[in-house]
Amino acid sequence: MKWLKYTHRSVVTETDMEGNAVEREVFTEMAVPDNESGRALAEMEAYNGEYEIYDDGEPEPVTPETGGDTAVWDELDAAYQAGYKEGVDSI
Amino acid sequence: MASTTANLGLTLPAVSDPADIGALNENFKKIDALGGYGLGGSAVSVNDLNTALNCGFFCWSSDCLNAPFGYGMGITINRFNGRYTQLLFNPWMGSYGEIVVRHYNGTEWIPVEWVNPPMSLGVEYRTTERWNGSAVYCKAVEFGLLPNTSYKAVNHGIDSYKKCVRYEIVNSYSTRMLRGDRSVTQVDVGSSNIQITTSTDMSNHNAVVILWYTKQ
Repeated sequence: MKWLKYTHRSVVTETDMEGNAVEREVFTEMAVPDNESGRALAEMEAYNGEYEIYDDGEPEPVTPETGGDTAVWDELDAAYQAGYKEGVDSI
Repeated sequence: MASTTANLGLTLPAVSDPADIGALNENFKKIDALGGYGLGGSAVSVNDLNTALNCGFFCWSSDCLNAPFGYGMGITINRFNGRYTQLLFNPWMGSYGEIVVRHYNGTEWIPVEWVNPPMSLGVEYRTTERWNGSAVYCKAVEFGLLPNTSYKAVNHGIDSYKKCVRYEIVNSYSTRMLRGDRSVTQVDVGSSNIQITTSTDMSNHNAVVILWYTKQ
């Protein structure tokens, strides 16, 4: 499946030993599916608006559609049992 | 002829000296001033925690080597067989109250272990907690916006990750707790990534995932 990979930048404010506020940047690598909602997320979060498309060669996992529907849980469980979890680290 | 002790300067009359109540009382006053525990005075300033090896209190400032934070105070317990334990306190402004433990096992210093890590974003801490005998580490990972009825993977950046003991998902924008939220239907923590699946649009929630884990 195709992913959008990008770097997220956040800035945290910390206090140094003299009591002064100091800003520190934290960069985190993120990935979302290459679909409409994923693209919207990537465009909001990507540092400098830059993201790349990456294909991990894995099949598309099951995505839940509604909250509270027991069928969703069954689908997720089936996907998990089918090795969905192993795909987490192949991104 | 009378002499004095090395540490407290107590008077030691010679065996041939006559009993001197005044000298005895001076000794008692010096001992009493220490609170009766053999300790007293100010902490000794050190510039390398690896050299603070005598039983007692010490303190350090920003140029000190092997210190987990810039300014602090500590206690060393020195065992007879070359093993040391240090208990370190951070009393300084901005991040009061952190407590750290260090051990020297006779060969090397074990990495510092935090009793109450400050949980700065993206920083890994080894803690005093254990899981099945292994040291437990913790790290707050920026997850960013949660996905919209979908899934999202974030690299946690942990080297030699072994097993997640527990996790928490904190909402950066509000007080809403996200772990256990029915919209967060699945959380997977792998050796490289945290993946969260949602069943509704959660893209207005910015999350920080806190992991507690062991290492290889």
